[in-house]
Amino acid sequence: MTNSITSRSLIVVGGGIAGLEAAIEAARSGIDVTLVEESPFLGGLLLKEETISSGDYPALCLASRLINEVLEHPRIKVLTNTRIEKVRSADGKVRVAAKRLPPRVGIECTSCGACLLVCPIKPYDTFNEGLMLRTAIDFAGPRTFGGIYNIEKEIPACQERCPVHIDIRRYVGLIASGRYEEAIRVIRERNPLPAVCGRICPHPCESVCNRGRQDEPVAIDALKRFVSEYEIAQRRAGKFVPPKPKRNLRVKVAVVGAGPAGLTVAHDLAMEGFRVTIFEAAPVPGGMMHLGIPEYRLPRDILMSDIEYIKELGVEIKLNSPLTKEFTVDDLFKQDYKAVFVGVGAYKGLKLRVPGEDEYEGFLDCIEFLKRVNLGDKTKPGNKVIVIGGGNSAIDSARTALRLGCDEVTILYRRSRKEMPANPWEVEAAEHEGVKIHYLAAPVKILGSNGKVTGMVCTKMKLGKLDASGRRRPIPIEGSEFEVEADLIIPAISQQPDLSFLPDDHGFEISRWNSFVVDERTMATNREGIYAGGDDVTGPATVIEAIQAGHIAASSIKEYLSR
Amino acid sequence: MKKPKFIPEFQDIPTQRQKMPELPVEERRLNFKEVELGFTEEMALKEAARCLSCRRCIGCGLCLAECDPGAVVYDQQTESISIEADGLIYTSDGKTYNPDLDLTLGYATCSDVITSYEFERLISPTGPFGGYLLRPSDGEIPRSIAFVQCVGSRNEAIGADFCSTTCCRRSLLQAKRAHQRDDVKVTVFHKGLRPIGKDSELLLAELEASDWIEFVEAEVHEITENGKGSVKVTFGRDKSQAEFDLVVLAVGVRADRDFRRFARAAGRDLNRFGFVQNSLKDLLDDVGAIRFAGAVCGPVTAHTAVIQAKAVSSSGFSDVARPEPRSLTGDKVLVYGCRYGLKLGGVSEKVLEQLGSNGFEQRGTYSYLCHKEGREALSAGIAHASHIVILGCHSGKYETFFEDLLNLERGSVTLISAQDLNGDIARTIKQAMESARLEPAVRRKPPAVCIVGSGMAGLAASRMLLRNGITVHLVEGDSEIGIGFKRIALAEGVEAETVDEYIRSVKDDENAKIHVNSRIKCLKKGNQGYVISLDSDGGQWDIECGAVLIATGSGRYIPEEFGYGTNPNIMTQDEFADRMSTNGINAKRVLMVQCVGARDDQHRYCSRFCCRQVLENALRYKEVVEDAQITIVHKGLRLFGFEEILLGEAIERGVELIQVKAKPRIYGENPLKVALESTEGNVELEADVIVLSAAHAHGEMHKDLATSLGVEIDDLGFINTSPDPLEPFDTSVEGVLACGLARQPMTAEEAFVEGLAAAGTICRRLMTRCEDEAD
Repeated sequence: MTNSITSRSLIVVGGGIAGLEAAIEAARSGIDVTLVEESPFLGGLLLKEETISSGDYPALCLASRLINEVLEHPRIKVLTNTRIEKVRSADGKVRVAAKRLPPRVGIECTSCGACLLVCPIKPYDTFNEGLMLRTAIDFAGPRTFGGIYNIEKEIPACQERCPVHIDIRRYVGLIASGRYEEAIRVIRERNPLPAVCGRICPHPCESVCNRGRQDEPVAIDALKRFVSEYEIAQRRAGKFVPPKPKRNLRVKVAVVGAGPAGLTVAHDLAMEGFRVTIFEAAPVPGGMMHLGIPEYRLPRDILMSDIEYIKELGVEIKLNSPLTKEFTVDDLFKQDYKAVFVGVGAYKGLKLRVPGEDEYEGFLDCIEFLKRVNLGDKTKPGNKVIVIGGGNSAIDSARTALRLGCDEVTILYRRSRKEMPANPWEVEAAEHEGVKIHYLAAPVKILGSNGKVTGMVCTKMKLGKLDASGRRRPIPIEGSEFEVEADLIIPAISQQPDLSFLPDDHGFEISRWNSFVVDERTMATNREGIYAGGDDVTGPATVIEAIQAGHIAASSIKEYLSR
Repeated sequence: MKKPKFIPEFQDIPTQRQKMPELPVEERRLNFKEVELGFTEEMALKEAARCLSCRRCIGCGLCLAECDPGAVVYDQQTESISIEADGLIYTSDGKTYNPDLDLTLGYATCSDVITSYEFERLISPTGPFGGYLLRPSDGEIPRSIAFVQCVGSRNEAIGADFCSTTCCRRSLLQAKRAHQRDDVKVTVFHKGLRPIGKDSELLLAELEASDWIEFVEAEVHEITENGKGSVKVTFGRDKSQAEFDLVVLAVGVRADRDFRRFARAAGRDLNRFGFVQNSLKDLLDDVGAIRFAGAVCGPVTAHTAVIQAKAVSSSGFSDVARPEPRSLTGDKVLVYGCRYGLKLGGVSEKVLEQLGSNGFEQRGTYSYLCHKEGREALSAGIAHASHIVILGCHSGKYETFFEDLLNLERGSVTLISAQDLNGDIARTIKQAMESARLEPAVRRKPPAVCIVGSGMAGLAASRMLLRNGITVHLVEGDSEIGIGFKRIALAEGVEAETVDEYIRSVKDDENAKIHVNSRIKCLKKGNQGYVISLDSDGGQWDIECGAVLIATGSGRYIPEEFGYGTNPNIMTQDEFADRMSTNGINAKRVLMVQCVGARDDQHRYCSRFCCRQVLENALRYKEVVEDAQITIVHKGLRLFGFEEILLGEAIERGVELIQVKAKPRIYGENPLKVALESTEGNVELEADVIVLSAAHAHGEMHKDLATSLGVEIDDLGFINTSPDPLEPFDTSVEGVLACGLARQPMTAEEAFVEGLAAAGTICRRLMTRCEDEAD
């Protein structure tokens, strides 16, 4: 507080009594004032006060007087709904970056109140401390003489959180009134793989669901599964009308990899009328959804039904057609494809980097293991199985091993349960089925004899300070080594894209994690007309995130091709 | 969770989340059958009905369809804004403590436990029940209400060892209001009441004498629902219980969480509670483009917040910074239309086209001429304009507004209200221009200001006015200015150099007229406003001024009780501090007596500074004489805001506190003996030294001044100022203002801030008056 300013413009933050008074005092003396208030209304706490009166004025009237003067003063510009994001002060100037949420009511408003009568929504009245209800149109009229309206039209928490922003509230509402067909249509607007996601999505939407604050969140994912099954049943009963592209173009687009990202790009572009061909290396479509995720979580007929839908749009899927050093992206352009999307996933398991690795038989990376099983090899791989890692693929490997008849399956994880990246309900199910989980332990050395794995030396760990991932860093406890027996060890500690198919002079920018570097807003690689997305950009992630990338890539490919 | 109260519950709330049917574990071996089996239709319908739809806009668009004026901008998007300015003032109302955090308070579980802000809404005519006081649980009128003080304040365990300052007074007012409304019985559970404000002692006395209110000094352990539609409060050491219809939690103040982020970016240190803590030292040398007011500077009342806001914002008056106004030298009369104004007046935008050439040049319409876009258009045309005509909303004052905006001489702009635009537009404009003043008025220098007193408030005000180029007559009764200022500033730890520099900057200013050894004799109306006759060193002077600011501060009470003056070991707090500084004291047993000359029958107000002073002195003495036994005898400490921290420190250092019901009795000599009637029983103590915390006192000082200036004084002996919080310094005589200790007891920092704020008010008024006269 000082008296040294001779400024001619001033920012006042806060529309409470102090802010209003500061703004008005400055404006009266000829300073241009911008008044920034985070809430939709001026007056602040004082507006709520009834008993704090002074002389003849209840606090409320006092605030109203100030608010009216502030609103009418030509030197004061009022920015309600505005939040200060950044502030910088240099060379005697203050610079502020702010975000203004839309009030959605313009100056034409005559305070007639018609909207208040028709609005069907009744949220708690925050001004009255939740003691009564108001409408989605917040109205500060009876409190102040100014009369300010503000329409609260936010995206619901679940929709906001969903990577592809499905209008969850709408489809859940449709299900509640039995309108399943419309519900699935709402989902399909944003998600081309509803049956798949209805089963294996980690559903971040549920973690932010407001109902969760009351008791438990709405089972959004299970509801999605329910309507997608309804669609499949309709299809089987022959009542299903296959989707039709909006128009028919002759432009060809190539998609490399029939995983969730590739399928989404194909779906979106086919809808726009492009002729899309997917080149898939494996003998089956679906990518990780087929090769990684076990059948007990995602039955294959369900997966195929979602893929069938995309094929019905005219998408051609060429199986057993990998890109190689001989058949490159450039060859695709030579075949008259105008744009290419690369979604080859992340299939290369990371090494444990302990002695004995790769020396013995009975040591199998989780991706290799799951791929083998998912392609039909259901032989029992061993008796005592140890899975190393704490992610979803570790849990999948363990539960799969159990189903193959392995006697004892143990998961070894170097942190504690709290830090485990796997979905907690999957961990629970695994334990329920008999998988043992050994927390705070890490491998030190692989043991073997006669060329076969016999066991492993492990060390106990303790947790130290937070590391870059925001989890506590595991530290080995010295002298705590112990031995475990095993005839199959499955490391499941993370994957990287396998880009060995690229020719030496591929010209792509590749990150140090062996992934494609793209512009996140467009998914464009550094090479013209070539886009990438999904696990080969992000490293191992979820189906829904791959779909998100697919959407972004598809819309930028469309824009690129219409140029 | 915001608890639903007296609102129909969501009908589907009791429904549990549907459990996903699963394949039995024993069937999962040696096959890959799907584990999760999916919902049946019945389950899906039940589950989907659980969605609350978030009670938010569902995007139905009814409001858009219904809005006749077309004001709804349905798809308006979030906007990024960047603003640049010469300064920034960050203010906040603060946040309140969330009582959900403490389950023993029952807020989360009982509907009839509410916060003080919820109570404000309950009792408000614009609130949910139209001003009727009804219980949230069942809508019955409560017969008994309990107020629980210090919820989330004065509690070190939750990291909030500060006093929230406003809650005690608020609860007392709320209790009074509730009783007036519905004749309820009230119980106030408190940890020592600390109502703030000049009149709070009277308010408290009034309530204490009433039979419908009971004050219980006890800790509240638990608040629970009683099942019979009442709330049970467990309190006190013996875990007594009482039942109430409604319990109001006086929730404390918290710093804005966002503010931490802002402060970090602005490079401002905060105290450990997240507030800006301004010591006097900070106030004296704080310069910078970013400044703070309101509840970011700690818990404050609305009154204080307004004064702080005035102090920080009232600094831009400086006419020095405003360049000389220019005159228009072009050859065209430019005509602008303001769309907003035209719309208000019901005039079509095409009105400008009717003008034709007619000697005018029409420059188009803008949605708001007074806003940025319009201003730019106006300044673009200045070069070849001989006059500017604006067709807009109001006339009159806005002409000067636009002239100031463009920095033009008076008379350069003519503003015509759209309502007056009928008939021949060109003729209307010509008439308006002809009837407008022809001679451009000259802005005059504002008149001088007379400031009475050169203490904290007086000096702060003088310096501020001088900086704005206003002549100040500083009237001081002593032989030198700034004596009080210096004493207090040094005691507050400000460096002597800074203090001297501050005083010198006032003394040496060419516009400062210092009148020492002077007394005001009378006030008369004069040319510039007032003529004041001064009695100065035996001679008489007349000074002309436009405004008078009373900043006399106050003197110290000279105790007549407790044997003061009869024994050298009985001294006042100031004398004690002096002797500490000169190492002239080495007593082991020190007894300090609070409220000497305050909060008694003759002085019915709290003197505000003494509780802080006694703790500061006690802690300082503990540094000097480590094994000293210090006992503070008080009638309930009145510590506000962060002063509470001192109390914690004092208790930690072994200072003993005894609360008494009546005045202590002092007898005996060497050692002195004291008989106390404490709240816990009678005590007798011996002491080597007794220190009396003498309060502020005015004696006849204000009475004389008030008579000569003609202003009213109140029953407590302070200058009576306006109860309107927005103009807190106005006295009963127009043009005479009072600030600082002259109008109510306060701390040195508060007085300093009031000085700035009052000077700002005067400055603005004189400037606008000058312009009015010039018109």
